[in-house]
Amino acid sequence: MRNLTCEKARSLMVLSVYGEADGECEDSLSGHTLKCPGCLAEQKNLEKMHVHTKLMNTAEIPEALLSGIKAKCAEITAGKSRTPLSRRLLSRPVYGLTAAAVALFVLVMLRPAGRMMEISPAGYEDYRLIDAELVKAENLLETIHLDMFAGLDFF
Amino acid sequence: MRDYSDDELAALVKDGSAEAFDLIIDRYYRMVFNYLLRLLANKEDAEDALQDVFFRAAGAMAKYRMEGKLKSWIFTIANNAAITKIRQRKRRRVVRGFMFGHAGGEEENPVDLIADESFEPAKTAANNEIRRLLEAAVDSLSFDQKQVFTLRHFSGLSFKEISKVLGVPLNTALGRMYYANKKLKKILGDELL
Repeated sequence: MRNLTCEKARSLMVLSVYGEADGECEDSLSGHTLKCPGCLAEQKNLEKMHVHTKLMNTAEIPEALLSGIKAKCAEITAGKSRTPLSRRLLSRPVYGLTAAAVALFVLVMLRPAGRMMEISPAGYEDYRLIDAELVKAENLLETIHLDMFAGLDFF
Repeated sequence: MRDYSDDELAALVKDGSAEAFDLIIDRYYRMVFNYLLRLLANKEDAEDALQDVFFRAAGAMAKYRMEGKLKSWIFTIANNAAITKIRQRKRRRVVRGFMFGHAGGEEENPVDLIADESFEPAKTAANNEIRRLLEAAVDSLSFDQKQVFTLRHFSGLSFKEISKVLGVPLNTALGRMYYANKKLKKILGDELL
């Protein structure tokens, strides 16, 4: 720390003026300022400025705001303390597994009795008609689609 | 009541003590508020941000590791809250500018804020004048310089703590403080020195 540059000395100067420099820093700085009048002048300016800035006041906040903050924080901390971190970490998989089990149960309960639904001959005719209608609708949609691409107004 | 350390209070909060968090608030609200007020130059924004800081801290207390750095941790939250507020303000200004054709000045003059009810009057007229000049001069510092200056002067953080809160090397924090003081001197000139 013997050969201090002016830049380094100015960093130490800040620490010194604000009372945060250790003995070694103070020694290096005073060694430098003895030889460097520029830095000595800077240090004096900084010290004066520090004295003046101590005059600056601090602001207060309204009492109502402070008590409001405390009340809300009490709610937050109480909420957090009711469920410790370990339980919260555990609760996520537990909730997930429970939801999955419920979903599986519902699916099993709603499942049709047989693998395939049995269709009566009359029912089969109905399905055939529905299927034909679906094919028609599909063709219609395809026509609309093609017309749109061709830039034609379908309607 | 015995004087608890920050980490003791944090441990009590983790055990569900609301009173311990009240003590943390009492310990830091002035420092945090003064930091936010100087940085945001708007009392309402500073009050909003102050609430955010303690709500976030209360919510995230479980994440705080007992390292004796509660103060730095709270000020890191405060710094983030201030930056968020400034971004929100910029967005609001853009929207207002777009809708009404003007930006709408939101910042209050910090000198007026101090001259109003929030600040105690200085003891002498000369000190009062110096204080007025200084407050105005501090407001003209760059954002980076204002952060360091305010954290040191009004919040009482050491330069090591400041470098941690702002996430910059110690020398950068010291350099910003040096140039902040230099700029203040330049602004105030012979009136003060």
